[in-house]
Amino acid sequence: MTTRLRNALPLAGRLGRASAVLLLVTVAALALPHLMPGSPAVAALGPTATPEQVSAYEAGLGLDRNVFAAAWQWIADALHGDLGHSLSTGAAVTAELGDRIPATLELFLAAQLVALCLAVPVALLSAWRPGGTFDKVATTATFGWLAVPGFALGLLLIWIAAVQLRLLPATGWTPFTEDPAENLRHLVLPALTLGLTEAAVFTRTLRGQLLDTLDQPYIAAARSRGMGTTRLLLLRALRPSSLPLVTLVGIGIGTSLGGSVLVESLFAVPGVGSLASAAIAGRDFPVVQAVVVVSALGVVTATFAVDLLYRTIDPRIADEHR
Amino acid sequence: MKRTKYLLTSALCTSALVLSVSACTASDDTLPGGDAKSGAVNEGQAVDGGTLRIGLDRPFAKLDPADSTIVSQPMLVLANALYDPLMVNGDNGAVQPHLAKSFAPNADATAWTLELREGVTFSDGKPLDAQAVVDHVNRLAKPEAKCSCVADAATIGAMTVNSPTSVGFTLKAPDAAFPSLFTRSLGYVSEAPTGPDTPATGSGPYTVESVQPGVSVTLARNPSYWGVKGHADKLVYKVLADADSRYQSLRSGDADLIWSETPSQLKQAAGDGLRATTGPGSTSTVLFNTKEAPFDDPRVRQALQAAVDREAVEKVVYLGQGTVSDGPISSRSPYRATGAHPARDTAKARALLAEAGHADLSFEYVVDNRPEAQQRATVLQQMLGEAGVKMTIKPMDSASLGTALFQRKFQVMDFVTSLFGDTDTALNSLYTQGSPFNFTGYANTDVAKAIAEGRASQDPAKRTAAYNEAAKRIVADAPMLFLTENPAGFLASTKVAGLPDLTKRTVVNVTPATLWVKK
Repeated sequence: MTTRLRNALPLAGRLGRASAVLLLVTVAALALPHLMPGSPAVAALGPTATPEQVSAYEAGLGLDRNVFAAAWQWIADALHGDLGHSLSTGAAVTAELGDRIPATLELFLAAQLVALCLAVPVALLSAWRPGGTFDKVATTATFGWLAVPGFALGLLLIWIAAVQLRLLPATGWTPFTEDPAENLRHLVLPALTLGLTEAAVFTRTLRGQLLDTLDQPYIAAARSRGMGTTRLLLLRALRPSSLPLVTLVGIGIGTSLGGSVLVESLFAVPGVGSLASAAIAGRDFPVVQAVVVVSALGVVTATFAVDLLYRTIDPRIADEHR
Repeated sequence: MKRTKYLLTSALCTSALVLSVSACTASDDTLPGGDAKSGAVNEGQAVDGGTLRIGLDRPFAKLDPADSTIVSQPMLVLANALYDPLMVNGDNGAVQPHLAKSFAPNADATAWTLELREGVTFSDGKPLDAQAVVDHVNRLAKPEAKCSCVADAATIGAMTVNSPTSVGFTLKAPDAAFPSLFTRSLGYVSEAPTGPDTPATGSGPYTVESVQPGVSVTLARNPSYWGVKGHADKLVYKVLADADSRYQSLRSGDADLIWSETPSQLKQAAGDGLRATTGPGSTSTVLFNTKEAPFDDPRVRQALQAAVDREAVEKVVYLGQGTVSDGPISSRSPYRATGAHPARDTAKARALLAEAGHADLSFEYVVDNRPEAQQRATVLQQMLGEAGVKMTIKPMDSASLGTALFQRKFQVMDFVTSLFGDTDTALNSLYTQGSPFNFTGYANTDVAKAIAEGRASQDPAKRTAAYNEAAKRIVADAPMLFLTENPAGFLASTKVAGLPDLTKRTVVNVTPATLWVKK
C-alpha cells in the first residue's frame, strides 16, 4: 500500500461516515410532516379547506408516499439545487436560504471572534496564576455568565446600548454590501449576545486545558531551562491546549444555529435562524427541512475541517491514524 | 338594507344604540382606521414629509389581501397603506363605505348593489372599476388563493357588472350584514400578483418600493392616489417579532410606531415617554368541545362558568386595562343590550357538577405559549381548583394548537379572538351548525333561528332583539366562557402625530396615511 493511499483511507472513511450522517438527518427531516400530530394541511389551510385542497397540500409534502421515497426524491432534487418551494411564500427555498445565509454566517463569525478575543486572554491570565485573584474573579464571572439566558442578555444589551446610551440600533439589519458601517453597527449587539455566552464556555475549556498542559513533562523541562511563565503559556502551552477550542468552534456552527434562532428573532436579523423560526411557527415544512439539512451539512463539514485542522495543530494525531 | 344604511351614516355612527334607516353614502374624507374626525387628538397642522418606521409583530409571507396575515388586525397598518377597503369598521361597530360610495340591498337582503367611487385607479394606472371588483372577489374565492375568506365568498351566488362603477351581488341566503364581509380580504380590491414574489397591486395611498418577504418592506407615497394623500414620504415596515425587543426599539428610536397587546407595555408606555392608542383588540374566551363527554353536558359547562371570576382574570392578566366580557356581543357593538352573565358562585358550580355526575371533574386545558395565555390558564386553574375541579394545563405551539382547534381535538381550549369586533360575523361563524368556525360543535336550533332572523332583518331594532336573544341562550348554554375584552393597539414615539382615538372601535385599525412625523 502506498503512502498516499494510506493517508487517503482514513479520510475516505470519515467522508463515508459524514455522508451517512447527512443521509440520516435528511430522512429524519423529511419524516417531520409524517410524525407531527394532526394534519399539517389542516393547520396550514384552516377549517375552510376542501378535501381536494388538503390532498394536494399533502401530496406537495410527500405525505402520499413513504418517507424513504419522499427522501429519495428530495435528495435527487437537492443535488440539482432544488430544495422545493416555501408553502407560505411560494418562493424557491434555495433562493430564500441563499438570501439568509450571509447574515447568519456573518453573525456566527463575529460571535466566534468576540468569544475567542475574550476567552483566550482571560484563560491565559487565569492559567498564569491559578487560584490567584484574577482566576477566582474570572471563574466566578464565567460560571455566573453561563447561567444568564441568551435572550435576557440580549435584552440587557439592548437596554444599555440602544435605549440608555443610544449608541447602537436596538434591532434591524443592513447588509454589508449596502453600507459596511451600518452593517457593523447592527452586528455588534447580536454578535455580543451570541459571543459572550460562548466566551464563557471557551474560557472554562481553555483554562482547564492550559493547566493540564502546564503539568506536562516537556513544560517542566522548558521551565527548568529558564523559560518564563508568560513565554511558556504563549509559545509552548497555548497551541496544544487549543485543540478542544477548535472542536468547540466547529461544533458551534451547529449550536450557533440554535442560538441564532433566538438572537436573530430578538434583534430582527434576517438570517437562517429567523427564517427557521417563522417556518416552524407556520409549519412551512419545505423550509424547515432545508434548514435542518443545510445546518447538518454545515456541522458535518465543520467537523471534517476540524479533523483536518487537528492534524495540522498536532501532527501526532495524524500519525496515530496511520 | 336598513342596518347597513344606518351603519353608513356618519351621524348615527356615533351612537351604538340609536339605530335607524338613512342614506348609505360615504364622505370624501373617510379613511380606513384613521379618520381624523373620529377623535384624533388635535395636534396642530399636519406635516408632510419624512419617513415613518413601523414595527410589525409578525412576518408576512405575501403582500396580497388573499393572505390572512396581511389582513390580521396588527397588520392592517400595512394593508391600509397598499390597499383601499370597500368598507371600513368605524366607531361603535359601524361599517362605513370607503372605496365604495354606497352598498344597498333589495327588500329581503338577498341582492346588493355596490356603487364605486368614480375615477379610482390602481397604483399602476389601471382603472379600479366594477370588473376589477368582480375579478378580485373571484380570485380570492378560488381554492388556490388559500384565502380564509373563501367561506364568505361562498355566500355569493352571482356577481354582475351593472356599469363601470356598479356591481350587483346575488346572495344564496338573505344577509343584512353583507357589507361587513368587505372590510378585510374581499374588500381590499387588488390586481392579482404577477408572480410568487410580486405584491398584489392595490389602489392605496402608498406603493411598494422594495420588499424582503418576512423581513421588511418600504413603501413610497402613491402619486396618483385618489383620496387624501399620505403625510409621510415613506413608510418603512420591519418585522420585529419579539414583543420585548420591539418595545425597546420604539424606546431607542429605531421605530416610530409599533403594535402591542402586551399588558405590561401598555401600562408602562406613558411612563416611558411613549404615546398609545388602544381599543378592545380581542376577547379572551374558553372553548369547550361540546361533542364529547363530559363537556357535551351543559351542566358541566355551566359549572365551570359559575366557578370563574372574570373580574379577577381581568385584573391579573390585563392589569385593569381591559373589561369583563359578558357574552358574544361586545361592549362596543351597536347591538349591545344589557349583558346578563351569571356571577361567580362556587357552591353552584359544585352542585351542578354533582348533579351531572362529575363531582371530581378533571380535564386538560390546551393553551399556547404566550405569557398572557399561560397566566390566564394559571388563574383559571386556581379558580376551578376552588370549585373542586382539577385542570391540567397543556401548553402547545401555535401551529399545533391551530390543528387541534380546526380538528376539534381538545377538551377545553384557550381561545383569544378578534371575531367579536363584528357581531354579525361572530354569531354566524361561531354558533351556527355547518360553519367551519364553529369550533365548539355547538348546536341549538333556537340560537340558529335567532341568528338567521337577525341576519335577514333590515330593521335594526328587530335585529338587535334577535341577536340579544341568541346571545342570552349562548351564555346560558355555555359552549364557551367569555372572560375579558383585551386592550391592544399602537404605541408611538412622541414625534408621531395624528393617532386616531380607538376607544370606540370594535376593530383596532389604523391607516398610516393619516399619521405624520413631527419635524
